[in-house]
Amino acid sequence: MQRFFHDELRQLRDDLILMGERSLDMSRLVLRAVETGDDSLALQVRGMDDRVDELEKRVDREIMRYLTLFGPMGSDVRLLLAARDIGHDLERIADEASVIAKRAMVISERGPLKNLLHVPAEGIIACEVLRLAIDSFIEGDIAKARLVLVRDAEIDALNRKNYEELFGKAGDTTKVSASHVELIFISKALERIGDHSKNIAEQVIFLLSGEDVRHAR
Amino acid sequence: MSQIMNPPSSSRIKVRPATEREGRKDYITIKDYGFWYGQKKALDAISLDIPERQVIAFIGPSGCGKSTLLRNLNRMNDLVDGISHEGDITINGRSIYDPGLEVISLRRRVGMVFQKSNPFPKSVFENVVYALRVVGVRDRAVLEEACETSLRKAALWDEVKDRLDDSALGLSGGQMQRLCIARAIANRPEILLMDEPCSALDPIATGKIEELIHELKEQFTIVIVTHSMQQAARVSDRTAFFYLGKQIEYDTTEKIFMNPSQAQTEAYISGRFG
Repeated sequence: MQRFFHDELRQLRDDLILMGERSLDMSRLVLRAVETGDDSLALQVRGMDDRVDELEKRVDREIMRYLTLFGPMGSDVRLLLAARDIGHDLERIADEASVIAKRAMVISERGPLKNLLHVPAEGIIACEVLRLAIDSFIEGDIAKARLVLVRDAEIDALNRKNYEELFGKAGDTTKVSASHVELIFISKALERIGDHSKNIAEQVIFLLSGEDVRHAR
Repeated sequence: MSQIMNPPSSSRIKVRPATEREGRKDYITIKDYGFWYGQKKALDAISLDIPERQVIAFIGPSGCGKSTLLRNLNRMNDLVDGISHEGDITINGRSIYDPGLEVISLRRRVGMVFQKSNPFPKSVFENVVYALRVVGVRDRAVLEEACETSLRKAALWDEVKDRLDDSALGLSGGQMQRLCIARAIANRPEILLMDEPCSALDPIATGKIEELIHELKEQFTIVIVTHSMQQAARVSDRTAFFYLGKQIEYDTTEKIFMNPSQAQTEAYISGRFG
């Protein structure tokens, strides 16, 4: 039997999708800001962060309301637990995009960087993986969620590569420009976006199958 | 699997949130109300405003006065010997104790559904139109129209339309309770009082009654007494918590169950009472 309060789960799900789309837009936009040195794009990204914060708070309120008032069971409980974590990860992704925007503006102020290392490639993969994670939630596609877990390693590898190419295997920081240090922080932020996408995918797997794949080796 | 990701939306009428349903905020007002059974004070200094076309739940442990207050809203307790009251209750601005107000007309405006379904030993049809017959309606077409409309509103029409002449006593428990709701609706009340309407029903029948309550609030102001806090949380817009005849807290249901102001309310809803 369909109950009237099940409509509230639809609203919750819609809000999470909206958060996902916003976070992805911010990630894509900030990547262009890094590649082009266009401060207006970076400023645009920083202006989008508040909306995602508000959505996270709304999602949390919706979850608390549903848990308190409607006595959820089974898959509804899993959806609410997963939604709390997914909302938090999407908010952190928006934060990382905002941090990248700030560092891109610092680089831009010092003059364009000719060598962006593997950051553009890392950014493209990070956005693809985030898209995949969001799609796995929207479509209820466990195969896509599992693919996120695999592809996250590609982002980790490029982040390591950036670090090694810049500092050398020994980690020598004396010959590195301040702008390249900012770039390394951007690389790390993209790697974190990958980690959060992976967390989302793990929650989607839990939601769809009940299987807890966190911390699996 | 898709059920998890895409909760289906309700196929029935869209019920607007309480904040969007127009109507008087003080449709029913209970002001400094006290009530005695003989020397025993059952209600003490109750004051609350009930908005129009919302569901209000009265909760509290046994003996807290919630059913007494409910039954006073249409003066059902007038039938008990030795009762007295202080303060006032108004409906749409008029006191229910106004000497010019006929109690019968009050009860026509304020219908009641009891804990145990109480269909008359008559046909389904005659149960629904009983009150209309009492006030003199004889036109068969009018009665049939009222019967169908009321049964549809009570979400029972599809289940009984082919057995209207069968005895109401042959219905299931959940169907009997919805029949009693249809009977109350047929009288075209403004307010429905429900005294633990689901306590004798299984979870599926309970779900149907709760869905019905959710839909009926588009047209009626509903006051429900329930021992089930989960039910109060699910169906009501506002909740009043009573203890030992006193009103401890009255607020939106969300506030009462998520962040009540009073320690006694918190203790009761979290199961730490007593």
